[in-house]
Amino acid sequence: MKHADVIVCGAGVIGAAVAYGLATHGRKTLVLDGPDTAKRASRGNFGLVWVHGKGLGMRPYARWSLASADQYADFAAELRERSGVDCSFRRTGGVWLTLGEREFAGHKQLIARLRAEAGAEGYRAEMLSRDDIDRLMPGVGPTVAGGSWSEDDGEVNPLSLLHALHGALPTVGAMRCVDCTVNAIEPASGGGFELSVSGERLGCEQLVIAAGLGSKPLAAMLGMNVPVRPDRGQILVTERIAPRFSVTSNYVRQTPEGSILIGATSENVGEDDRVDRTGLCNVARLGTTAFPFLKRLRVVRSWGALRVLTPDGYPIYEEVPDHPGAFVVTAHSGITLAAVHARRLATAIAAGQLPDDLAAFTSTRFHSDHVAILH
Amino acid sequence: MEETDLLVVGAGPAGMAATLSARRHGLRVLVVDENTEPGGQIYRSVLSNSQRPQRARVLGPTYFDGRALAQAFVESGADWRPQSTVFEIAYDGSASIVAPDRGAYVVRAQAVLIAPGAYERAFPVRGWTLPGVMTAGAAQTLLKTSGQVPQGRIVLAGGGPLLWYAAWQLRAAGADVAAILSFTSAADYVRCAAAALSAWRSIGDLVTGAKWMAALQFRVPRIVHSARVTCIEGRVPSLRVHYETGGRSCMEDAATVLLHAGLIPNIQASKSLRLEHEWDETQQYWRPSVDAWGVSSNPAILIAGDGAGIAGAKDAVRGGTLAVLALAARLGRVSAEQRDAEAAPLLAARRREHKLRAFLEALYAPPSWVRVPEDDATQVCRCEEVTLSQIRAAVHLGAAGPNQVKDYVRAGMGACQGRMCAQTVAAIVAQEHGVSPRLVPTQQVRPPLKPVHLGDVAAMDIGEIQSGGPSIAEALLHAPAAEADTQGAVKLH
Amino acid sequence: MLRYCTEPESAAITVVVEGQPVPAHVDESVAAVLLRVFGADYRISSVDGGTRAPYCLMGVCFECLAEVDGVPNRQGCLVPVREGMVIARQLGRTEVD
Repeated sequence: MKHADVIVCGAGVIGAAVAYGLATHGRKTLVLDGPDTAKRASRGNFGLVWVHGKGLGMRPYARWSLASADQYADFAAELRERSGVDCSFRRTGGVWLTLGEREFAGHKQLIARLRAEAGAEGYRAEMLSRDDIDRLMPGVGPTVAGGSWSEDDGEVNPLSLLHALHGALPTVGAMRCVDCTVNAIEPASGGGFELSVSGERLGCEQLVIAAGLGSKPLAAMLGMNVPVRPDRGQILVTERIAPRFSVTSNYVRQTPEGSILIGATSENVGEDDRVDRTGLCNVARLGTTAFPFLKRLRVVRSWGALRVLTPDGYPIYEEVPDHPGAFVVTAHSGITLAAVHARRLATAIAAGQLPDDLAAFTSTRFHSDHVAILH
Repeated sequence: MEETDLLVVGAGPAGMAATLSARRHGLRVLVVDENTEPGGQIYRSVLSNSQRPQRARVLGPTYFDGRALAQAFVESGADWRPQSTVFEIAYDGSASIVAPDRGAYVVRAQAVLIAPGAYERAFPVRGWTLPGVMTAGAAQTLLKTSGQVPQGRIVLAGGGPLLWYAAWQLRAAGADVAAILSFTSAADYVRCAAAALSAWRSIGDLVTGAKWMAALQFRVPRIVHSARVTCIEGRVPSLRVHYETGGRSCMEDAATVLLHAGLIPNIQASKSLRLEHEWDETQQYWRPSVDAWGVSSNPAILIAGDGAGIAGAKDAVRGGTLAVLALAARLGRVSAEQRDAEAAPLLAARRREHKLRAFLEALYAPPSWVRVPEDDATQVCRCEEVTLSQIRAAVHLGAAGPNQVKDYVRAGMGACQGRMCAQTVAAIVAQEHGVSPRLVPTQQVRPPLKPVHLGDVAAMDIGEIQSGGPSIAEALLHAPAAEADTQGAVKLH
Repeated sequence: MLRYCTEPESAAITVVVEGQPVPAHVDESVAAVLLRVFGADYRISSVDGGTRAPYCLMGVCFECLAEVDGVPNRQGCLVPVREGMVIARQLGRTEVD
């Protein structure tokens, strides 16, 4: 039976980042990847490395996102050196656009509350008027009421990030197995775990379940409920134009190749990752409302992908109850958090213990009744 | 929101025949095509060319077989929408259409007949992206639509009936057809002799084909068999085609190079609908799975013509007619008996021609070096300029199909959305894994099927917003995260 | 790169190609006109700046992109010319003001 120190189930941006980090700590790591047609949230991402506006009521998440963004350039350079793939990370600063007065008012409140929660730590974001936004992103539409800005935000090519991670894995001694199906996970009698994968038995001391929506059935094999559900996002991509936007934003950004990305919807439609007429229309309306000049551009392709959402949208980092050595790692911001997943989180898992500042991210928070499940 | 009984996508032979059949059975029909005239590719501009006697002489009599059909089509009373593009089709038989004078709009139909036809298989050799290199079909289209031919020496390369037909038409047009480099060998003819004999019923077509080839033997200075193109280099008007034959390396100079290695069904629309498809081992392409009537794995979607599988114009006419017969029966416009009675002669003709099809497919099956290029520097993905070596590297890194290859190296992500490269990428994956392409997933296709202006899409009237699709008033989004106090919507990232 | 193979049998018109009047005929495609005028220098790719020209001439390959009446990146093989049409080559990425 093949044996590894750690088996990571899932080779998307989360699984691959954690596996990469574990391997840099000298763990013999095996990463299991699904088939070509698997849902793969990692391939449908908008590409933001985003900090500001996050973490209301969950201060550790705001810190966690910032920490990742602060390390990202270094992390991207490390991956580029190892894999030869440049994931085009740019810390351009980000504009949070709002459409209409109501959305702007709500957003002002959000930023004020986040600032209050940050307290003495300080909070780096400032409100922007419509004219401010127009200076940063020329051509903004008349119904854009305003927004906010933070220099902490940036963007990356999410597909290149995954490519870089996959390319870097062999250079740190990690093995990736493609087209795998995990049929069973059992605790092994001497400690550790045994997996039945595509007809083969594999053993490991530690196990990381980072399989996106697939984490739910896998964790259930060890008796743990991981409350994730799919949330569909549809994104449109325009034809390439000459460089125009030097900052990134929540709704609209321009890639280094020149395409403009517009997104995204948030829909509860089960495992349907298609792009449909409603999505095409709504995202087109979103884009052309934010920037009327986009009306003259053509949409040349689209994405539909399923976010992996917990009830409050924040990650779950948790050792599986009754199964020490098995960890569940799930988040919908796998792109933003890639650096800390590969570094801080992987280091903690390698040491066998999740740190205190990540204690907020266990799934027990969904069980207590003083935390409202917000819709 | 517009409504009709049958939406026909594509006004080639299948689409035109379907329209006539639908009108005969009293169905309302809306027909959409990107071009200004009906005819598809094979009968492109056939109506307007009927007024051009010199061009007609060059194009030949087979082309004008389509004239009566096109004429009947325009007189059929169908709602004919030329220069319009279907950019999205939904599983419920509705579709989004865009036209220059009207923007984007939605049509609802009881059934959609997709008749998108075929296009030429990619011919990825090093240098195929050079200006001056085109498909043989492109030269025919140029003749049909614009009455023009390439100047200077023309070299044709590849195989298949269309290669010879195009050469014949270009000669008739006075073009300088200097060489034909055919991948078919003497051994291929011998191997297929038995199939040729069993196609005796189609002796007429066989004789026509033989006549073209015989005529060309005397008029084309150089005809080479068993020719394997290795690369094309140079710059118009001095291109050079390198090829190998009989173990020797040779070259031909050309001002224009025309490539052809057979036709493949256009499966963009059928793939976007996530219909079932099947792999054709002989012709090495994917085609949608349809029953004998042309009904796909979604009963509201019918597929006919070369878009369902390459079988030529005459069979496309049968296919379009059969699909509508099935629909008419389903809608109660015709009894099952009547349907079967009308279908019987069409099915019989289809069976008779089957042997000819089998012979042609066997004779002109695409060689391996066309399906998977041999030169590492070949640009497999033209639009994003991704080479064979980059794709192989992606496969070695673990990309198990064209979708992951696309994620790694962008092949299939460009303007043509994989039309020119996805099947080559899949063939490369298949070769690297030592499996049949049947076992390699195809590239996923999402709308828009063709680029469409955001302004047009944004202004579309899509009726009531379906559940699952938030409205613009909420800025499209809602937050499941803790920002519950904020009014209005927040983006997740 | 192209020439007429018969006496023109459609009405003669004039189109404007990058500011210059160019004779053409009704029902000719924009792609055919640009091929006649510019030959191999048909287009500059927005990906790496190389020269490209039409390949399939039936709307599948997207190599024939051209600017027609101010609208960039139109498939020239699908657009028949008409009197006074303003045509320009697609040279790299579009600028949007």
